[in-house]
Amino acid sequence: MTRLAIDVAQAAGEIADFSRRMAAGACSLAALEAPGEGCSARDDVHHEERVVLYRYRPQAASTGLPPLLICYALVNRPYVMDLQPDRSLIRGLLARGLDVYLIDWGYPEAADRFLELDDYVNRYLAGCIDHIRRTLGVPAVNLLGVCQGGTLALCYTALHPDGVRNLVTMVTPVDFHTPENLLSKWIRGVDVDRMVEVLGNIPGELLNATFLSLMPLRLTSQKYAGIADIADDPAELASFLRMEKWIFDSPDQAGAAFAQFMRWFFQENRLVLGGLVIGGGRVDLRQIDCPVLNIHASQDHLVPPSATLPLRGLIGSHDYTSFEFDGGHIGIYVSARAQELLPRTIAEWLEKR
Amino acid sequence: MPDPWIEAQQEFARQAADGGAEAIRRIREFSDDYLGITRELWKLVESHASGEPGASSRALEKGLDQLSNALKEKFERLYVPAFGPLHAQQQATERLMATTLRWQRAVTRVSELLSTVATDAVEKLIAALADPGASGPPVTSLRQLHNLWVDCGERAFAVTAHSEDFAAAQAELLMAMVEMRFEQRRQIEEWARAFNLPTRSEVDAIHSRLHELARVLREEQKR
Repeated sequence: MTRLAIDVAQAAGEIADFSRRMAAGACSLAALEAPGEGCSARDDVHHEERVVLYRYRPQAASTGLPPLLICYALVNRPYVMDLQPDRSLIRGLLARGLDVYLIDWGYPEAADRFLELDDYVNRYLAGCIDHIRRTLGVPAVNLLGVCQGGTLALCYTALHPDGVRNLVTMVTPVDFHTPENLLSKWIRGVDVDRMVEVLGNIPGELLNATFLSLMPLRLTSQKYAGIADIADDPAELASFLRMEKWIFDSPDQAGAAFAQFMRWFFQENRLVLGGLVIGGGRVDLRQIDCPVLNIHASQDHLVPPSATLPLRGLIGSHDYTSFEFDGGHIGIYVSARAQELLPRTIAEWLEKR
Repeated sequence: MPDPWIEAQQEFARQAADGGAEAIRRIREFSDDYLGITRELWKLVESHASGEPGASSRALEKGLDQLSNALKEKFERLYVPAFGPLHAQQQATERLMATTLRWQRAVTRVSELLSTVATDAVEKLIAALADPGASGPPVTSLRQLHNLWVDCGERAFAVTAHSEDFAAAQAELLMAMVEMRFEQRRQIEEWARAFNLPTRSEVDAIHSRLHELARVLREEQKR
């Protein structure tokens, strides 16, 4: 008894059709215009070294809520938050009348290898928040931390609770030692200090290779075979191309900050176990007493739900909301379902506070 | 505490005092070993070519790996302590060779583990297709077969990828690469210094000072 019921003649036709569609897809991809980085109008309102703070131009009447600052991860570029008009969390938030800011960390260069987490949390992130507070005359901002940016946002909020009115974390790792966390298992045996001593900044290509090797067949062979399914759809191909550009657009990581993040979070799990000190300040999540919305993705292979859900028991705030998105780590940014659901969830949660 | 450099010189002196007999013995030993390995390699190829029972591709691959490791080990034993005006260069070359060997071993180890993934994936695919208990709709297209293969491959990979062995092998591969890069860079920097060219180490030292100066300046400005 076998499930295999492939007709040979049909298979030959399938191969021919697949080849034709892949060739057509390749031709269409080659003819597409190069994708840009982000699609919504914005102004750069604050700089510090390579870091730029953008403020998005409003697209709807203001709700009057405090400004929302998006703090994205260091390991990829933040324009995935505003990839294209129909796949943009930022557009969804703007359409709901929120005043949206975004931090762009830039591309670290060789001279940045000694930047530490202290620089990212207490200087760059703090500088952006101070700029918004100062220029708008608001006492605190709403902070949305995404992925690793969520971890940085947690650190900032614990160190400077007065600067954050409400905290939203999205696919944010908190407990780095849960059994499903493959990345964490692989990193635990690496001498990251020696790695940074020799390599300096950590190449983005190395990180990309690591991320791809978490699901090597699904993220390579299967993904590219999928081009055949969208070969006749220029809009889908354009989306595919934009995502490809984003996925492989990985900045090098500032050496010292990378080593600290790997050692303190991935290897020593200090956010959960304690002992995390950034820039001389002790990061104690119990200091976070503002309302917290923690959004996770049920099928996230990079930040499994088990890595983010423990946040509830670690913070001081009693106003904690958890929201599960049915999808994966990338789908939560760009899937069609996320486009309406996430901005609505975030905006409604903020409006109530 | 013993000084490794002094010890190396003393070891060289000891061998020299022995009239070079130790070095000659090592080279002879290597020649004998090398011939032995060559004979083993020939036997292995002959056995595989004749289709003897058990002469699978996997057995051939395993045999070749064993011989390769044996050869590396014998080759490593050839090294003698460095001495004289070129001792630093000889030591640098030896370190680079040692780190390259370490990297090759690490690659081999990861490859071994990945080959078990491939085998496991095939077994899972066969089970999914052919086992009497296999459930699911019939697979009627190559695309469905490909998707099933990906599912089986990912499940097989996940088992190995989550193991301590794999994590250790990955970490060793990365660190072996790092150490090899370090030795490569060290040699390149030696050449650069010989031509009075700036090196990465020197630029790093400048960046480090600049970073520290900027930090001090910011603190002063805050006061």
